[in-house]
Amino acid sequence: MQAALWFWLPAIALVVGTGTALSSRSETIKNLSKSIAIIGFILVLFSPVTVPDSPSSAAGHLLGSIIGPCALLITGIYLLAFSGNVEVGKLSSTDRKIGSACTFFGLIWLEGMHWWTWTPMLNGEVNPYWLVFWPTFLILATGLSSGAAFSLRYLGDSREKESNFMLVISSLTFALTVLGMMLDGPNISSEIFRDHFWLAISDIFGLGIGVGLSILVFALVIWIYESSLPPAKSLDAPSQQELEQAASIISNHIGGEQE
Amino acid sequence: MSEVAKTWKVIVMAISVPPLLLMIFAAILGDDISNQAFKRFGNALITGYTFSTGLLFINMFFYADSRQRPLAPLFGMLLATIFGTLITLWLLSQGDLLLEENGSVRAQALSNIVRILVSSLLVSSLALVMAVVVSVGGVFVAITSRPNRKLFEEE
Repeated sequence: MQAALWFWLPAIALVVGTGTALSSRSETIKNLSKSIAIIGFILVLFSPVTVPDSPSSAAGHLLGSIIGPCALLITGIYLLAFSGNVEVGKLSSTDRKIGSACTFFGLIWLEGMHWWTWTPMLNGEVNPYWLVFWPTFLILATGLSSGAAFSLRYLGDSREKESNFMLVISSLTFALTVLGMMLDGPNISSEIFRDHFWLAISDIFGLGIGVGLSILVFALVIWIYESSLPPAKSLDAPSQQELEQAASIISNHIGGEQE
Repeated sequence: MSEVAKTWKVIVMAISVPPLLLMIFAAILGDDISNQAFKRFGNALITGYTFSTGLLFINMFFYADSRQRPLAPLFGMLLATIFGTLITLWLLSQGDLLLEENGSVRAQALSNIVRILVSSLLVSSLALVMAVVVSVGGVFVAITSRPNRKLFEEE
């Protein structure tokens, strides 16, 4: 009951509030939804304090642990992107330096959670959700960065340098995953990391295939219905009289006046 | 095959090849795909299918309304249920799908919903968001870091 009140209710408020804030057209509902989402988020963050005995509070603990590096990373990338060559709202060169520092320290902080002693620990053990988050993030980052690199190369025009930059990011996250599989960290051994790597891969491919299959089924339903629709009624061919009328109208509108 | 289809194939391959290479690497290190991983795959597949079908089912009402096909949601639900049952039966024929903490199918279904809410919606979604931030943000950083290109040469 305590977990439902202090974790599940705020978690539902966070998800529903965010969804409504993003989709609603009314400003009043938007502001109300934002407030509900923020209150829900704060209560989820505090769930390890409010319901320490509930296993669900580990998710709140993880959110609290990674909010720092994630915020640094998001802020850093935002500052870097908008201090470059943008036409409108360009940020200063100081912002670019701050952005570089934020991105660097955000990445170091995240890496320190695996390779150093900053791992999110709950009751003396590694937070189980960190073992879901970290391999999932690395696998998705390497795949999506590689996809972005090839999109730039094939869909973009003269974007080879940008494509190479994205390949470097993909290779970096790929290398970090491989290192995690081979070398032990202070709190997470390579064997545990590999176990959770397989579970993360199972989750990603399972969800992807499940969603893909459901789209396929509904595409099939729509295809069956669309192919069973009767063809649009076509008009009869024009009669001789209609053709002559059309020809006289056309002849009156071409050629122009003779000077 | 058209150029557009080829390009999309390359991009889909580019997204899926790194995870597949990582799987090969993990297998080379001596890992067998554990029974637990298969159970997680099966449960994730069924849960993903069920959630996604639920969302698409709501859209069928809009489709039925716009195309004047009132039976479309019913037909869609019937086909989705048949397909879902076939997938579940196939997965069950490959092995047990119950994770060890759950003693019955009903407990497993409830556990899937809880796990998908906490693990997928909060934690895995956060991982997905951060991965998108890194990859899409990286593209923007790379593009805006280059000097502006001349579109036309001045005469």
